[in-house]
Amino acid sequence: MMKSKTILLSLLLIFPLLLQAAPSQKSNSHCLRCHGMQTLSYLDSTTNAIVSLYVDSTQFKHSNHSKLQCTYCHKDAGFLTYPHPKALQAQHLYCTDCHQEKEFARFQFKKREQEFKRSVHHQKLGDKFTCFSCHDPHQFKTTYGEENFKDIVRRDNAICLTCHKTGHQLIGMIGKAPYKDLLSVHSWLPNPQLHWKAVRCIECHTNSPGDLYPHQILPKEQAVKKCEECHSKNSILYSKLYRFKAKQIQQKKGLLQMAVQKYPYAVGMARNQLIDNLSILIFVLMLIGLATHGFLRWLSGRKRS
Amino acid sequence: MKKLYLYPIWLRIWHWTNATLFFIQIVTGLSMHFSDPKHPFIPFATARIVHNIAGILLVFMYLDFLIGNLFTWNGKHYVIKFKGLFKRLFLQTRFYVFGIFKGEPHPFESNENSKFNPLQQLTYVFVMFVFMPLLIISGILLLFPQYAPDSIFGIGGIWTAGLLHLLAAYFFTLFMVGHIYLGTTGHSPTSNFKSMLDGYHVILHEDHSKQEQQNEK
Repeated sequence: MMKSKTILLSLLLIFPLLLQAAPSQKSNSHCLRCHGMQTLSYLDSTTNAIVSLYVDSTQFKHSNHSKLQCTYCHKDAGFLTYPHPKALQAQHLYCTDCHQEKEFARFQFKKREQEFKRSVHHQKLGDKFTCFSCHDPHQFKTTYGEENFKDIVRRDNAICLTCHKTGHQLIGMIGKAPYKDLLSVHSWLPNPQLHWKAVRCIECHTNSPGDLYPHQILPKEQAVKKCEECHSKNSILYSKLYRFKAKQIQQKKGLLQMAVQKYPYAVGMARNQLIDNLSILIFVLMLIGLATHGFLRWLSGRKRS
Repeated sequence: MKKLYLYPIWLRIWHWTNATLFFIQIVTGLSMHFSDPKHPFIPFATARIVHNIAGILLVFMYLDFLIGNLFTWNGKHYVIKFKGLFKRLFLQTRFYVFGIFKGEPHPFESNENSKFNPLQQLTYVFVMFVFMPLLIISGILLLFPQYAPDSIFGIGGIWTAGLLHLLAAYFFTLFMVGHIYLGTTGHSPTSNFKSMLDGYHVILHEDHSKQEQQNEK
């Protein structure tokens, strides 16, 4: 009897503690009970923008961060209680808070951070613009290796278009929509929509040859605007995404391979040394042949006369 | 000496317009194919616009050629007579390889019934009915790549169009050089060019016609 009373008393004492510790123990599903609702958002009183607090649980499950507990990043004790303290709204998280370990060295987070700080986004918007303005850590995925070329381009460009297509998000950030229609901004480009399917925005709006993930977005005046930069044998595309995808493909020999793999075709870039050289050789031989024929005609004509 | 009116005005206009457009296409096409930001020949953006406009005009020129040959007597020159073709091809080749140096007369002098020699006729038929459609179709696909099939012959649709357009373009460049050179093999180096300007073909020795009739058989 005495023993059962002791257990009951112990349970009563521990129960409030169990309740408080619930979020970390019940894992992510506990957080997603609220944050899994698409409509969960609040009105930011300073910017007048609606800030979504929704986390797509399906996307999260497929993301690189899926194995992490929410509280691994959102570690402030305030996240364990509800309602969360308002002060947490001002809290900023950074990729490099976690990504400093050696196991992430290949992603060069430090370099990305430095590039980002030089980018037009950070230069103009300062702390209003963070890693998460573009990269949602709840959806982030690095699965380029096996992906189809067009899917990579579509997905990466979708990041830019989130703000730059309509400008709605930007209104919250800078108070106005800064762009005219994207098509009219790019009207100098022949068939812009086709270009956007073949290359990422950052191929032209960054200048980091040899880098697959350039983060120093340039001011629009410095973007590539010369066709030859891409439409040539040493196309800048070969030093960016195309280089990554065409790792095993030699530029000089791999034309057919690129064709078979349905790479985007670009006049001036899609060149095969063998076809070009053979054609030039045939042309030169033909000129020599015709010149010889002409000379012999002239010589025989002179003899006859 | 006899003068035959073999090249009507519509044909001559077509010929020289075609020649000019082809020259523009070769220059702008080469400039784009071998484009280099450090050593630009024609700025890519300019070359592209000129190439596209000249290309569209060439399509109209081709339609003009088809209609012109369908509704006038000129079309008969493109009908190949297969009987004795190899013998005639041999005679013409022999002329270019040997006879021309000995001052022999052309084995197939142009006349109202047959303007082209057998080699010329065969080449023109291939050029106009095989290579031109190939060049035009591949060119249209490159002009409207959004409508190109995703895949042709197992490789990317635009790649097929691009490669065929390039190969056809190289072929046409060779054809143009050969065509201009063979233009100098008339009675005088300039006589064929004059014919294509005034429309008249000059026959110096009428007695050749008997020999030709022999060759035709």
